[in-house]
Amino acid sequence: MSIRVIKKGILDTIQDEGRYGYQHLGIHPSGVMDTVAMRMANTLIGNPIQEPVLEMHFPAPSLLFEEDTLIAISGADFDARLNRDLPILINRCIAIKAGTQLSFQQQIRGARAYIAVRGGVQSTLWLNSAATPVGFTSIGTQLQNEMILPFKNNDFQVAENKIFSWTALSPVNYQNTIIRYTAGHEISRLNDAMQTLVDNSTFILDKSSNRMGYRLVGPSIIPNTHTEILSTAVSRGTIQLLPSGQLIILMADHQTTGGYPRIGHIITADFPKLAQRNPGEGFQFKQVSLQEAHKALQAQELHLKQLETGCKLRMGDV
Amino acid sequence: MSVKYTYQCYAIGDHALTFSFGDRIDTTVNEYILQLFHLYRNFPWPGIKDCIPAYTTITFVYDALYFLNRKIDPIDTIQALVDELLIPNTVTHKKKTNNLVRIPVCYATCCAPDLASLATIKQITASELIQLHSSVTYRVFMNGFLPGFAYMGKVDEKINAPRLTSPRQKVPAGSVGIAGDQTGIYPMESPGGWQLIGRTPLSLFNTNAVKPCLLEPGDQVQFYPISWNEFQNWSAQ
Repeated sequence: MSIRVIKKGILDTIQDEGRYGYQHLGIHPSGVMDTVAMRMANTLIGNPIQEPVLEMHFPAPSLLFEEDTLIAISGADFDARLNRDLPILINRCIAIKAGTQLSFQQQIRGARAYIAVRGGVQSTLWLNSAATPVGFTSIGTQLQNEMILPFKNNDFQVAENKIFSWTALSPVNYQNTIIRYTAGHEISRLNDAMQTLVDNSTFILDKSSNRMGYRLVGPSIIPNTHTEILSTAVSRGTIQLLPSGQLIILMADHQTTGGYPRIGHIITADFPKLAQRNPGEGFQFKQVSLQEAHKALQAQELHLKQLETGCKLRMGDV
Repeated sequence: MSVKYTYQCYAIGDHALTFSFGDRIDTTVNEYILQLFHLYRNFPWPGIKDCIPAYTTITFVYDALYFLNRKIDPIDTIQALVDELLIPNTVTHKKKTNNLVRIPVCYATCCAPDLASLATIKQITASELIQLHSSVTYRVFMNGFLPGFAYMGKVDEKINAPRLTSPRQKVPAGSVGIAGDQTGIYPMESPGGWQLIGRTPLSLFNTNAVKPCLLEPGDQVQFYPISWNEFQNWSAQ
């Protein structure tokens, strides 16, 4: 026994870094939306960084821990409480005593919260991955009421519920509303005025935005030519221009190929920022070079590596 | 194949690289793309997470940090690897025999909401349309859109059809459609804008199967008509 789902949330799934190696069959990678949050949650409790985690939206689930464990919550802040009372902060290592209930009171900030459990939970693998694409009931794990998520191994016993004192600082500045992108192959279809419009406008996430894609509400972007392109690969972060003049950004559950002009691609280092935007919230685009994109990713990686070292040292105190 | 192909290489963001060998549907070009794909699959390169062949392009999804941590440029490295594959003869002799898949299709009205109107527009009878659609051996140029969705071509120009101006919210699994000179089968219920001219009882995508997708790039496909009765009995099996 391990975690029992008392009440499921609106969309709680087990996710990992994605199911890669099958896109030639049209099988999309899926995986966590906020890659950094997944890694932080795992790092905080001494898990391997690629250990599958639980991704939650708001309203989030109520979970009962039937065994002692360590957990960490990262990403969005949904005002987590132990036994409906004790507030717990995100990005902390938390010792949980068997019989404790974890629930979430309100959406303070962010769109997706992640829970990592010491040692991980048993999850259904398909093609070597635990990732759960939305809309495919036969792939992955979506939480249901009364579902049991057994721990993989339980090497932990705790005396009482305890929030450890150290906080991990995320390398992502989630408050920043600038989302960086590199130019796409069809950006030349936009004249200078249109490109300026893309960079100088605020785009709002439409309410239909989900794990597949973010539909943006903003000025109409009119290309020089409306011809479709021959279906070819797209990827996470690809910004497509729809015939209506609206933009759509492909997210974790994106299709593998597409025929709409690709005017840009969100840089990997900014996926987490975008993943934590809610419908109705806005942001601005900023074009950067490929070199800048890679530098930003390396800086993020360095921060996360340092965090790993720090957490390893701290784990000695647990 | 003695033609020497030149490519245009461009980035799909900071984690993928596309090599484009043209901008028109062409069997020879696609054959070439798939040979590159199979060469890559036989000897995968470290740091590459996915390889996606399409009509005229092949895309490598890479782990940027794998390259950056080793202080090597991902673009230069992948380009050099592709150039190596392109050396004539390495490609020429590795032609893969294409798998032939026969697919039963029920062209009855209940399975084919757009068949009658398409036939009218094309000034042919419904049975001529069925005959034209099921008499060609199609090539799977690529998979995409949905898991197991195969883009097949080319359909006879007498029955090629534009996409619907307003896509359907729900297309049933197994629906066979036409868009331009392509034909395809929806592996699962989904929204879709292709004109629907039939439906197969076969399952195109099955997560429990060893080979989850019935159709893969490079496959040859033949459709053969079945009755509504046969369709129903097939589904019951």
